[in-house]
Amino acid sequence: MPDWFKRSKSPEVPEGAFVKCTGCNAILVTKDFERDNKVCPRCGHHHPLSADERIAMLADEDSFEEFGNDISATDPLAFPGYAQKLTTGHADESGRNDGLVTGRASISSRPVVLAISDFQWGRLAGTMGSVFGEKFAIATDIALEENRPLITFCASGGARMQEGLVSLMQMAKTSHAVAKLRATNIPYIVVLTHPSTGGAVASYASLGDVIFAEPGATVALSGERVAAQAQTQKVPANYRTAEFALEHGMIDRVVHRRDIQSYIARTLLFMQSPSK
Amino acid sequence: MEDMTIIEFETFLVELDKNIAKLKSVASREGDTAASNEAKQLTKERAQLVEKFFRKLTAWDKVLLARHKDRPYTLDYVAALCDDFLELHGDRAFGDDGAVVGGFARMSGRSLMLIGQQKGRDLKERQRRNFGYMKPEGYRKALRLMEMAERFSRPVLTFIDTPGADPNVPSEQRGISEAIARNLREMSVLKTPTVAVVVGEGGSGGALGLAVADRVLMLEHSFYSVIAPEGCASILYRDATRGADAAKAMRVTAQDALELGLIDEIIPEPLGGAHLDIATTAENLEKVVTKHLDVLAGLSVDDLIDQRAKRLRALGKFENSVERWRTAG
Repeated sequence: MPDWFKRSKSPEVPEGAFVKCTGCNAILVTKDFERDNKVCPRCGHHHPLSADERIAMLADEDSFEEFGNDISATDPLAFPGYAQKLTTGHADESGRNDGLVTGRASISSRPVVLAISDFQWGRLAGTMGSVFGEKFAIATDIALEENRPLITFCASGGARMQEGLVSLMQMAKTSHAVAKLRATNIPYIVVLTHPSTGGAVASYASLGDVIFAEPGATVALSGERVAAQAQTQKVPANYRTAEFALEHGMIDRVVHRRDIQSYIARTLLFMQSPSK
Repeated sequence: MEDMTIIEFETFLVELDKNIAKLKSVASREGDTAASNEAKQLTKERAQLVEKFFRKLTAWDKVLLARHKDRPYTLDYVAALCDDFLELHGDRAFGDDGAVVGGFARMSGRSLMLIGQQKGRDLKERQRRNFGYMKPEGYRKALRLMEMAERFSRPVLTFIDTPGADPNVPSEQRGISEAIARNLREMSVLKTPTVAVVVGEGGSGGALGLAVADRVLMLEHSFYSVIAPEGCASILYRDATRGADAAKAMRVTAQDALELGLIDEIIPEPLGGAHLDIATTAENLEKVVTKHLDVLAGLSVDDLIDQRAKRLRALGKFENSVERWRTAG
């Protein structure tokens, strides 16, 4: 077989030049996909983002100053497999100690505090353990001290089973932190992303002055399996989604990812005095 | 005996008691001293067996005891402890949740708002009370009553006994997450003393939704868990039947919670469990609850709120270093 024939069978495509949409299987150009913040232009499916990608989308350039990475989990129950997950998470080049990323930033020149969940960290599904709770509480304390709005993006499987009852208590801790904000006129904005479930939505993530959600995000108390087992009646087509939560009055708006920064900026414009 | 669960052990005791009764009747009917002696011996051994078994209860035994079909429920304690109880109903928005009862109570000469999760005894009542799974309207009713207690300066006493919050479609439609979250937020700053007692099952967020308090107490054989042991087992071992292993791994007992610094005190149960002697259990409960309510009553509202804020802010187990995990890899 002549050489020229062989070569023509495998055209030179740089690795990773294309990605497949997990919503509609469309083949997309990676460069365009990333420019669109990983939203499929065909079907609108919102693919997962890391905390860093969210911060880049949201915060004014170079404005993000991270805090809260100087503490770590203790594996209080010596729970099977937890130490391994923590070690994996800490080995991440970000140098982070948890799936909750906290820091000061500005959005459209307004100083804010961000608390952004990273679902991937340590393969712990953005769950709420002691470090999550403490970082959220620190973020709230700084918001109160410096009169900065607190903006949180939720992506969580709920309380962190591996810390047992200690992690259930993080629901009480974060909700109390929100109560402190609520006693002031400091804005607290929640954005629910996929998935926002369990203890997260049964605590801080359902307590925003304003709650936005990304299209198609799972928003529900019960996990998929629990929900499936417990069902005693017919399930609506959009059950456990952001759209379902909107329909039933549980959130303010479903917001396309490309608009989220401007929706937050408009919210802050309403809530904060014009001098800011 | 070693491998028996508490439920199997109870069945064994029933058989043993039958034998003892038989021996006793033979002894009295025929004046058989050998039978009489044997009955005495067995009775003595029975007591030793019970004591030995209860000294080594596993986490799973505690789960089974907390879920025992004869376990006292909130209304049993109300009957045993309250001189008066005026139950109030409804969330003023949607409905009345049978899985939680609440109202004005008189206990040890004190007026308080008593709110408790309630399972049913027979099938009909169990269905009416949704097996203790509270719905959004239940959390909202409870909050309405707590805010009333705050307005009239009465303490709040809650009894926790639920497998979890109701996970069905109508509860999601009416905002079960929001209802729990709101309770956590409002209970964290409620301007009146609050005491929560886990009397049976402390089932995750559904339990916590009534259990953010100045004092959290647990009965000796109750349990309190972030996820049902069976749910944890199906994630951890991909086998929901390994609840016993999961209960151990998650450390769900009252003794664990006390050791972890998450509760204030354990209320002792009579030997064999609360269901064998409700009166004594209620008496023990009253003693401990009253002690804590007396202390809380002596605090100003500002001090109360301040102390509760400190408790909540301090929840968690972490260390001020990341070295452990950096070097572990």
